[in-house]
Amino acid sequence: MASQILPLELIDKCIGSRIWVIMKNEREFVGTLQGFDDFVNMVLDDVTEYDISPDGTQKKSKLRQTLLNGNNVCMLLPGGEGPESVQ
Amino acid sequence: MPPPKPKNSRMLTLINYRLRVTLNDTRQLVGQMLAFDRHMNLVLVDTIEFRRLKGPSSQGDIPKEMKRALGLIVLRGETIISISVEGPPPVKEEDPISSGPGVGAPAGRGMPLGAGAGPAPPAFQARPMPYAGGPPPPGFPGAAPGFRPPPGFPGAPPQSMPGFPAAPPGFPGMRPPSS
Repeated sequence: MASQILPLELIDKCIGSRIWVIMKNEREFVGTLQGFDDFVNMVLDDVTEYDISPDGTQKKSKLRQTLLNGNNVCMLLPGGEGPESVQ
Repeated sequence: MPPPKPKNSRMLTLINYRLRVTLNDTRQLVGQMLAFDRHMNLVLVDTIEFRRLKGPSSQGDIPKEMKRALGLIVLRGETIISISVEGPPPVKEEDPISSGPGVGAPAGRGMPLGAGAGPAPPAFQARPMPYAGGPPPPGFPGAAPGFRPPPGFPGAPPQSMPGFPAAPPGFPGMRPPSS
């Protein structure tokens, strides 16, 4: 039995919807996923970037269309609304 | 000798288990693994993230631990340092869809799908034809005779009849100002 759905297939299903990307460092992005490739490089629209400093405070900045290098991606949260939605 | 196992079998035995995944950036994730691939990308559900925040604020005492509930995530395999089993697959009640005495069958109204599409539309299309074929641009005076045959519609409301004879006089009245 193979696994039901491959991780990259799940990302493929997220194209067009909001996604929350957590990088390896203390940086997170929330945006609308336009596309990705095998390296999980991603193109995001209407992006909010969160820069989380060691004391837990977040610096927020807005970006329009963004190409995100897959090298530093750690986690992807389909439908995520960013660090403000949890805690 | 047992047959050689496929390489993925170790991961397959862990599927649906609750795992604790340690990442290379001091994070730990605890979640139920639904899927993996050859890069060891994982799909985890009901995920909780733990991380130690190091920095000036936490110097001297125990590092501040942050905990977040993330839910469904795709985790990039590149960042994974180690995986350990946190617990067995969560037991859930029987699949509510598969069981039950009912029978599923296609339901309809006794009419084959194409039946309504056949003869009826031509009948509708045929009706406007006599009107369209009538004398074209005498304008309203031409249309009035079309309505006139009350023999065809004996029950037609009589009010409409006075209305239409009144209309053509209205148009000749419009014309003089324009000319």
